[in-house]
Amino acid sequence: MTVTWAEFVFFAVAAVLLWFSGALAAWKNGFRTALWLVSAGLAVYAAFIALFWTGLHRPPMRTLGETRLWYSFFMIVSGLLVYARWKYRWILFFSSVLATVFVAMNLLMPEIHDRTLMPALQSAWFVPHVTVYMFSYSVIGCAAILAVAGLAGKTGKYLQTADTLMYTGMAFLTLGMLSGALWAKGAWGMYWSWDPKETWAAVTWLSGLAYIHLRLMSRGSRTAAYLLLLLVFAGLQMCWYGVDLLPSAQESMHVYGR
Amino acid sequence: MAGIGGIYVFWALYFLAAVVCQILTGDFPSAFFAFPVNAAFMLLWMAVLWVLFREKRGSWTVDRLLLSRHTTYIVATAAFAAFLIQGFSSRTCTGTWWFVAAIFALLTNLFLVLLRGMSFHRPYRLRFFLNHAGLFLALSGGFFGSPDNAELMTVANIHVPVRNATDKDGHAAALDHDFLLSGFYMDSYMDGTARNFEADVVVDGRETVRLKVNHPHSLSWQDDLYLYGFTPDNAGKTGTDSCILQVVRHPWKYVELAGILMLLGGAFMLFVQGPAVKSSGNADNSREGGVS
Repeated sequence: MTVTWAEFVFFAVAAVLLWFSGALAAWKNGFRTALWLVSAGLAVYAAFIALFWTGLHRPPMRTLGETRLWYSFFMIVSGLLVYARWKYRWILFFSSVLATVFVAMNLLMPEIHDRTLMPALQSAWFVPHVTVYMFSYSVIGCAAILAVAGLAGKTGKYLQTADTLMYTGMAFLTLGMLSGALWAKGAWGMYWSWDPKETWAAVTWLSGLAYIHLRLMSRGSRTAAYLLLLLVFAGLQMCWYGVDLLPSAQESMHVYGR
Repeated sequence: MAGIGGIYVFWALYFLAAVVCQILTGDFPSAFFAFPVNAAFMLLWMAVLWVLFREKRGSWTVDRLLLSRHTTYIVATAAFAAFLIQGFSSRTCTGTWWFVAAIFALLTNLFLVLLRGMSFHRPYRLRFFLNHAGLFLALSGGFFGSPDNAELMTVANIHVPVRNATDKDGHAAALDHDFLLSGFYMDSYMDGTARNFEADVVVDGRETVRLKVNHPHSLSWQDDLYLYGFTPDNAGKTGTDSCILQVVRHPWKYVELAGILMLLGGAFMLFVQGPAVKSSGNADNSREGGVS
């Protein structure tokens, strides 16, 4: 049995319903129920990928639409792992929303299904690299929201949660950056070339390290900690899309589709 | 020059000297530090730091000038500033005196922090080691190894083996191997743009290797061969009788890879173990900043 994009909507709706049911169960402290429901959603989604793969006679990692499949899949896997480890009630809802965004793109933008990636992007590193980066972006985005709330409310009560988010976010950010370095070695010859995208990734990473060390040393005001979080978030925006607008990016190896 | 003010004065003079050198001499003379000078300098520098740490612990030079939190602030800020300038700049700044000075200062502080952190029992010891030693190896491998790196481009064709190339600056260079294209395969879209392309290349008249993007061929322990692209023919269409090859010499890649793998392990532990136990928050410089 094989499937095509035409059947994707059935698998997607079933998976998304199960993911959000799991997220709801997690919010109501139904730990095991949440694990089962989200895992069931993952199984449905994985079934589509496996059947689709069989029908294509190649791994579904070549077109934009196909990579969106993996984003959403690994977003849920990441959320599930974080939930199983840390039991944050909100994390499954958060990862489900992000995964659903990518699912919706595939449903609403069928033209991307067959838009083939350029040769350099056709790599086994593509999906893990982008997925862990996207997850770190989302987790650090949460920390930035807490920073805004902390600054507005003039309270330090969000710092402890922000610390936890930043450790998770920085772990994934590091994995994303280093998987990119390993990929770059295979594609272009060097692990690191100080390309504009790489340089901004280093700026962002250094900002994140500054936050962690500031908090470890228990030094600096809460305002300084919150502002550092916002600096990390600003760095992420530069790294993700802002760098494409800079004159320095005109020769970048990381700007595609021009 | 004791005291906190002295620390700031010293590092201000250090970076000022780098800027002056940049103005007076242009970019850092990295070619002078090609192997074996870079390896010897790196080992000597690490040995000096090790001896200073072991024998001069408690002195102003080690505890304040090289290892205090003020120094960490200064060198981290300098590196951050250097990265920012590079991030906004259209030209490559990594060969400038000030960029080299910033990375060297960062590596010096990082190495001493690593020595200090491993000198006493601590929570998250393995994680600390993987993250700090990994970063040190990855960064120092790239920093000290850069004079030995080379990226040479050549065009291989189906008629005559090529043995000459050009470097990144357009200078002619000789290759250690010759390359002859024996086959080129291309998969195109309807509009003619490349979907995928591969090349069969005969190396030194003996071995035929299949090259494609993301799949280099190892020529030796330090050289790898990459399929860089293809050359359009006179009509602007894809030719199949020549392709662009890149030979990358990267002898320090093993040092960098070791650092990257250690950092990956450290990042995994950061995720699994979560936030570290807070330090006591006192002003004791001897153990600050090292729980991550």
